Amino acid sequence: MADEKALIAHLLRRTGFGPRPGQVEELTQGGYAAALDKVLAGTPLTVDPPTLGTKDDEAFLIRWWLEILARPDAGLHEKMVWFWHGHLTSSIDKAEPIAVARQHQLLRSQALGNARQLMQDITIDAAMLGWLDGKSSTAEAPNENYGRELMELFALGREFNGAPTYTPADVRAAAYALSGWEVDDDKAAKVTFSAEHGPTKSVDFLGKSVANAKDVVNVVCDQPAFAPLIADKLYQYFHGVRPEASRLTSLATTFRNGNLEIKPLVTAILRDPTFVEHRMNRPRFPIEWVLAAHAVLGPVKDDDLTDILSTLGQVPFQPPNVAGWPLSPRWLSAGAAMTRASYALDGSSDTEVTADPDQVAWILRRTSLFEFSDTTRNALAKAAGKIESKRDRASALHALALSTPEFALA
Amino acid sequence: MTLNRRDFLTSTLAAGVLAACSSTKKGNSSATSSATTAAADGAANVAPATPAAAGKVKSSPKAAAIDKRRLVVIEMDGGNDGLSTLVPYGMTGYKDVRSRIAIDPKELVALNDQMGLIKTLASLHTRGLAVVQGIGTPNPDGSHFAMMDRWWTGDVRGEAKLNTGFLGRLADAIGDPSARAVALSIGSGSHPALRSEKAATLSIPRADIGNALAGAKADDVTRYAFQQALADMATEASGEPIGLAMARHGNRDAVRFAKTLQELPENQSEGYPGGTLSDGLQLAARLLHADPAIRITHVPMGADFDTHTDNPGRHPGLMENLAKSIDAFMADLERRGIADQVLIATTSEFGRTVKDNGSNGLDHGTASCALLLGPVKAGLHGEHPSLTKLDGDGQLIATVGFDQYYATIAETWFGVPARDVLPGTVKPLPDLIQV
Repeated sequence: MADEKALIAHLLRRTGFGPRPGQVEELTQGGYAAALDKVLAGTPLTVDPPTLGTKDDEAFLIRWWLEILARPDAGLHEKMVWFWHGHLTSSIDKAEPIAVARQHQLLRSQALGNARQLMQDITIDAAMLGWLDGKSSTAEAPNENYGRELMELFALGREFNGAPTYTPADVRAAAYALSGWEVDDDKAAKVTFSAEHGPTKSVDFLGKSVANAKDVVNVVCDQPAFAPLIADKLYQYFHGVRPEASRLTSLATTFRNGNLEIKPLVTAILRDPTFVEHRMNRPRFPIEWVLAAHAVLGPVKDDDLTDILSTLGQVPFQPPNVAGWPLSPRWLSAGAAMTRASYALDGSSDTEVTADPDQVAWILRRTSLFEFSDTTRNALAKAAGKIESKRDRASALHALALSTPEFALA
Repeated sequence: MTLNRRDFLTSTLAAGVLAACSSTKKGNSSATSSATTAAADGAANVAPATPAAAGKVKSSPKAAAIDKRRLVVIEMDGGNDGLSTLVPYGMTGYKDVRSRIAIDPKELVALNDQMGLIKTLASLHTRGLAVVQGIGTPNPDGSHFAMMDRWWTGDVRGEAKLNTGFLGRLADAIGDPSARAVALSIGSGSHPALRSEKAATLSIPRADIGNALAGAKADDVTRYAFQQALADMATEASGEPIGLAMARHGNRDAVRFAKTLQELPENQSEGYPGGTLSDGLQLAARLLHADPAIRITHVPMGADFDTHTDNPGRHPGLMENLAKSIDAFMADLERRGIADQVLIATTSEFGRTVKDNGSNGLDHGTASCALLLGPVKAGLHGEHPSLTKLDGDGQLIATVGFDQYYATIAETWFGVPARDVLPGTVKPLPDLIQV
């Protein structure tokens, strides 16, 4: 078994956006089990709503959330807000900022709440209606965009147990039944339903009769593919790998029998005994890397974070497409590695300095690297030995620790 | 130990990944359209108009020797509407299927009495544009992600489930395995289309990102030590857990390629219109100029081709940005003296619905068209799909499999037998590429 600190560092990497220096040590006394209890007992951050109406609402909103994500008390709830933002995603490039801000509040309120309610709310959410063209969809001329992505990406997947989950006819039926919702961009993105442009009859959808958006979402959430899709994606988010088939079935059953409440599902996933074994098996997403780096380096001002996140390909509220950001080896590419190393070097000019005689051990602790390769440790030691200035040595060690392959992993 | 990329892809980590998708379908295109939108009030009311006569077409350059040839793939991610790109204005049924958004022939450059290019592509026409019509798949799928995956992996039917990308396999076939990079994607993360087994294939978002990784002199003690340590940490060791091995592999490629980035020739911004594609092509020109070992460059356009709404208002601007970007890129390559080495080819996961959806938009479709420039035979290739005989979902029936298009690039341009890089037996298209 790995060192207790390594397990706690793993827990904090997966359930938060750090760790910050010292955070692992604070939790070590009670052991891993107590640390997990503490993470699960965490409460949502208290957040003041963003003040919009400035010249650049897009940039403001991005910064506003980044500051929240960087708070030292951002934990499991915030990590779940990020999860839903990647799953039920919308982009500020197409949807109005005021609508995106409201969608964010929705995700915040249901992050560990009820999945059925979340799916109902997001379906008639102003930002989603803008992003996936629901707001221009009428029963006479239904737009297929949202209905298709609802099934393919948000709720069912393309196949379940080897069979397609929906047909082109279901896409058309969904588009019809979901039509009629309008967004008034002149009135703070107010959402209304227009009976004139909405469906006037019931249609067959996934073998059921549906007459409106609410019916569509209920039918979707009742499909056998829904609970497993959410459970699978959440498991991957926390574990870095897909669950075994039997494990997925039991998680999905827990989720469904629990009325699609999210918190018990997340709890089961994190209490799964394999969780601690699944360490360092996935990349840190850019948002995780950048915030973890700043948990060590200290806060940055203004747009710096947006710039680095843009180069790395993960700016909040700007998903690359409707599938959000993939959990994939792509975040370990050479281009990303270069970007991270350059950023780490630039950001390390004014770091903490230590009197600790073992400076390498000190920087590894400080960056919460409690398991590391000999290659990495030796490279750091060699560099430290070459730099005489204490100040420069501390800078170089910070930059190097953040550039290690270990630190690139969640 | 040299890590085998296939090991990566079949690893626990890769098995756990969600469907990879790196494209950008939403985003602000910096393109602005000077073209007026199509006649929205019905083609029936449009007086018979004559499209602009086709201008003079430059003869295409003679291709460079086979071992010097390069490929630049421009991905129009999101699903480009073929019927608004190469407009079948004179074909039976056009005015019926596009009754609300038929394009006024005055907005076209006629290629014949049936087909015209949208006017915003006129400059490419002058450069000898070749258009492959009706490109798609025999069993279309309405999902962006399923179809992008097929195009990226070179799996026309979506049944072969390949672990490598088509461009990655091409890189394996033609590249020097010791090169710092054989294929590059312009962007922020490794691209599925470039997954290879032997050849180094990378993604590069910007030219300046390598600055910290190479080039420090020994008297710059801190920076020098930092760079030495980075190189030390990038040395792969056997038996490491897969995640760590992959991270280290990325660091290794980064340290190696940083040297290339530091030696890049000057940027030439002349004529580039701005935007993701324009920036990507500018960088691609410098990279191709810098290192002859780079044989393939993939440039996602990062514009919003997913025109579920207002296709007439959006599409001409997308084409204008495409044309201006390529035009500037080709001039850039000419000034660098490497234009004869480069074949430019576009991809897009699918076309759009034949009929509009009532929001002046077009939902996900099937067949579209592909554009080529460089040593190609200008004009139309293949057969345009019928607008009256559609498939069971009311969609276009593809006349050319995209694997044939790929086979042509592999065999005719690079001399790589199609069977080495594509599943099944695929015949190249005749007379498309002139070598």
